[in-house]
Amino acid sequence: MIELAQLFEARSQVPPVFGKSSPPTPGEMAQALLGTPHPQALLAFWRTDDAWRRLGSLLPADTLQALAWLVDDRPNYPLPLTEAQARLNMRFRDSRAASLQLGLLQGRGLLFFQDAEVGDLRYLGILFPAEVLLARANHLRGPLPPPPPAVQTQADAGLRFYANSLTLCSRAAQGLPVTRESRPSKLALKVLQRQFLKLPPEVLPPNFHEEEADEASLHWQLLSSLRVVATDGHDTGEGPALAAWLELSPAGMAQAFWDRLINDLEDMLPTLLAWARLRHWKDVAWISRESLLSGVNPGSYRWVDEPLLCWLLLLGLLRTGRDEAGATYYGWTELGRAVFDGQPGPQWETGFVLQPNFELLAPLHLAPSLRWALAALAESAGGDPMLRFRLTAPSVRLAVHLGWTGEDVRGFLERGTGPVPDNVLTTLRDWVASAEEPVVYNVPVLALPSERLTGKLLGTTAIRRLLGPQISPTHFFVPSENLPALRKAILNAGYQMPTAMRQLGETAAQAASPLSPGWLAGAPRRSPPPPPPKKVAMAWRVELPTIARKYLKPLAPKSWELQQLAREAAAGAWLVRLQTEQELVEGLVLAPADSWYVSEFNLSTEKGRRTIAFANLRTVQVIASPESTAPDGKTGPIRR
Amino acid sequence: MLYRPERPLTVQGDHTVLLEVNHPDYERARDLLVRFAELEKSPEFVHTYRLSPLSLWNAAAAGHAAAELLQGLEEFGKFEVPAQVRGNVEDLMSRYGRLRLLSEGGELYLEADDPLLLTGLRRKERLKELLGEPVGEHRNRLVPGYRGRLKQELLKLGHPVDDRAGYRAGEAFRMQLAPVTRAGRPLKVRDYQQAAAAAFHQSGGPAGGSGVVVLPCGAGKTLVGLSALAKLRTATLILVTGEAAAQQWRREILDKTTADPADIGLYTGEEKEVRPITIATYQILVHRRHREDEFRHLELFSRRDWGLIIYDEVHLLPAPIFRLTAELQAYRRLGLTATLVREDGRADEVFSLIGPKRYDLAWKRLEEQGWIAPAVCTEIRVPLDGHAERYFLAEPREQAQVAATNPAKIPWVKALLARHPGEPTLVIGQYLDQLERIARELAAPLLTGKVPNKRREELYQQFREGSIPCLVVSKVANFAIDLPDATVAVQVSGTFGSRQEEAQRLGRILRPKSDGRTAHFYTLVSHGTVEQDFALKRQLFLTEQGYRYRLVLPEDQS
Repeated sequence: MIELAQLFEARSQVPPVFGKSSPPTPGEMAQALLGTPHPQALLAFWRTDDAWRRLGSLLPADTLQALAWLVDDRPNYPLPLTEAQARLNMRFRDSRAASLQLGLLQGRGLLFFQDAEVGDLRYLGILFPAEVLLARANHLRGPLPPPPPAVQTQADAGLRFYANSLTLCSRAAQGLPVTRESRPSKLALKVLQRQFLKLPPEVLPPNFHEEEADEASLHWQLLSSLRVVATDGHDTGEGPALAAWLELSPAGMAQAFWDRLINDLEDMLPTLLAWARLRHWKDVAWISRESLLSGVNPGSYRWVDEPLLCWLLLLGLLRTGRDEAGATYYGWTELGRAVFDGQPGPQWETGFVLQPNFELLAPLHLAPSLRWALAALAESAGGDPMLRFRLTAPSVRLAVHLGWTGEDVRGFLERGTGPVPDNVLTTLRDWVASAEEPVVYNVPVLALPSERLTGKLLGTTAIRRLLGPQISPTHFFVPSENLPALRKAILNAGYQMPTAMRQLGETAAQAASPLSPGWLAGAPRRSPPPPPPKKVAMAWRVELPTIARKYLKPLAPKSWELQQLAREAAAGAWLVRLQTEQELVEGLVLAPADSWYVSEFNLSTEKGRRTIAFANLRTVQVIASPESTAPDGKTGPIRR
Repeated sequence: MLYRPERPLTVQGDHTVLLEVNHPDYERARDLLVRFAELEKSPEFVHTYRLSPLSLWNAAAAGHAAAELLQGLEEFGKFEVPAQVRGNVEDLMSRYGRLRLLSEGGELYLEADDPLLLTGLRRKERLKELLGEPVGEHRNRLVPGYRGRLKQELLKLGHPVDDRAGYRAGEAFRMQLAPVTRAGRPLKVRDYQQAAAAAFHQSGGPAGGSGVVVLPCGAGKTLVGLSALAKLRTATLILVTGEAAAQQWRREILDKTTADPADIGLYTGEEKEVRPITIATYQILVHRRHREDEFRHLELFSRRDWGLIIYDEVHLLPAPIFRLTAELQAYRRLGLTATLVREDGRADEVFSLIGPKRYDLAWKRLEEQGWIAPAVCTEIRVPLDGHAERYFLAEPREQAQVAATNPAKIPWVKALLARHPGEPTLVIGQYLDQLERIARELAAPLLTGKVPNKRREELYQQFREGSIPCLVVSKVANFAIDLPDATVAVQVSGTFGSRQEEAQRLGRILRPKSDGRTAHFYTLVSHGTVEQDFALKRQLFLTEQGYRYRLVLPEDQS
């Protein structure tokens, strides 16, 4: 049996919870307690339900009353000295009586003073060890309330917080950009939070704002403090504790988060009173909010809501309910009972469903390691409480690039779902093969020596229509069956093209039939130009070829077509009509036109050459080109 | 979080419901869901239903209550029903019946139990011209002719109307179902067909008479329409998707009812007969020479005192007919369709203008009962072989066609025909050159849109009789042609883009076979081409419909 003197002596040796800049750590507290004569008995005394009543037998009645009043009335923070003294005087009638009782309690380690000066003001705080508050809370707790009427669950976060946490883990492992403060940027967190499962609004802390990505920020803080995620100064990545984290049970994760969020319960009587009630009435399904807050001043409800209930709800340890009258209730969840009572808690699910339509369905409490793998292999499609994923060609190819083999994919799916549907298996085989095996096709490629020549040849419809897709500024695929026609068309345009195809790596000298010497020399040799027409073809009488008619339409100033046209027009000395916002100009295009400017010769004013920026052009009309047919039926360049 | 893994159903926060097919309680849970939700996907293991406003209003219109649904969801649910889903179900279902359309003394009234609701609606700008003057707190007289538009607008505002204003009787026309078909076989109306017709008819009261019956392709929707016609015995206008469908309806009426050929008129591009039973195509009704012209054929609706309008394939109903239907609310209206999904998203207009869903039956159930044939879909990947270069050098927009017309598919068509000797087979494609070549090589007739109707009918008849075992068909195969004995379809090319097209093509082979054999639907896809992307969409669609799907890659073809 512990003696009065021993109890108070021991208590007075334990460092106060208050009066420090931060609460003592559990280690500090344990060490201090171990230094006392009867640490076990001391702890046991305060843990008993009737500690307050037994304390009454150890203290004079009026001292216990004074302690009760001080605990119940204690302000939440140090008060200015004058205000604190006024309150004490009101309770104890005079300052002498107050000093006597306070001194008695202080001497026995049951309260502490916190004295501070801020500017000219002195502040006084009267603070209590946590176990004294807890003993008082247990004393005030009251009897078990009567069973509630029918209550319907209103909000239960379930394991959504943990699922969201895993979402953050997997994204962080892929790398998110970090700020100078070594945390993901707000934008990255906002984007991430959009992928989170929605938590019921009733379980979200009141100061949480979705647009501020508060939940994602909280996950980051928690997971980085647990070293599950980390940064290298540039990007986020996996933390050293990730592997162990993925192996934790739901209760293990909940315990880790709870310990991080609540180092110690808030040292306020309303908080501890509600906590005592929740813990003591743990076996009832529902506790009404009214019972939970009974005896608490409404102004102090926030000391219950914010530091206690919101975290319990967010972590899925507590759920809310409503009765028919709309009254609010709280009830422990299976997870809550597992964390605080050591009861068997929910377990991760180890299987999922794979459907023939490539959809994967898994409950949100899918084992983290499986969820991790699924996120790597399939695209997430949301879903709550059943998560949906879909296997797609890109997602499977990405997994292959990350190192999965076809056998890995198959094995993982079979372990999670049993036999994989045939059509899925075959399609997966196809996708994996297409990601693993490059395919080689033998296709003729036309290589042109310069972009300038490329522009010229592309301007000729007869050549352009024979070419396949362009693969570089000067290279084109050519359908084999078009080769003879292409050769002829190029010849008609004044260039030569060899009959035999060159092999890769083969030099011109080695080639059986090299490209024309002109090409090799970098200076294309033109065929002799056709003879000039005998008379000038007037623009409005010229039968325009297809390409010219095509450009009667307005062209975007920076369009590829316009650039090609300018190149071709310059090369062929075309007669064009250029319309700008302000004027209509007709003339011959003279410049090489491989720049953004066209020089032209103004027909009407004969003033010489002018430059018109592409950006100013509205319409380009080809009046005559080398392909135009002059009125006399001859084809050729039209010159003035 | 409550978790009862032993139960079959999960209600998701987004109002979808997942149902495990292989669960012992599957059938009970399905029977619950089919009343309240739309089946969205039915792949092999877990089906997805959606609790949409329309599906809940359809359920409320059929007399079901929210409590019945919520109790069932709790009973079968693995998890608790999410609070927001519970709240929405209760709210939405309570809305049906709050507004009623009534007819009294030749006038129409909109009635509400809650005067505040009516007061709020009177203030809505878009309703002002549709609502006449108030008659007390609970009623509003209706502006004549606005019955349909009012229902449309109220539905858009989230207030479905229980239309009990009744219908015009229409011109009497004596007709009944024949006990024996013209071919001499006893006519048997299946239980579900009777139930569908009864759900629509509702004993002739104002609670029935308009609505939609949803049955899979091959389930005999035509006979549901004829049963409704026989119950109402009134002049009937039947609107169908095309001339072949019109012919099919005519044949069915003559085969299964006591109607005389002289009582049936066709109103199509070729014929314009208006008889007590008139079958018109959607195309002719919306035909006009110029965009500015009126739809002059729509006057068909007033050419006779119709007592019933049947909209075949109601999911394809063109917009002008919707607009006109808004003015035809005094006529009884029956919509027939295999799906309420409209590619244009106008399902809400089907609800407000044709009527709520009156009957729905999952195809799987019909397959289980043997009313439609089991089908296996097989995709065969055909290498491009010598066609590869042409494919890779084609312009991107041409690649799909080059892949679709891969000549290496033709030997596969022959091989598949050889695999199913004597079985009626359709070869379906999109590109005429390809189809002409296939028809030539198979020595089979080619049926395209250019083939005159008379010739088409001859070919159909020969195919039905078995004198032609294989028919090569173009897109004409998509809609409502009746080829009852086809057991094999080989699709050589197609757009694969439309869910309707796939459903229709598959529907061609779903009619039950006398020997109970499985129908086969083959698709030939060029390997390693864009055609695979289209085929993947198709694979998703078909597997989501619940069909068995096989994929044969080139390396598996030895």
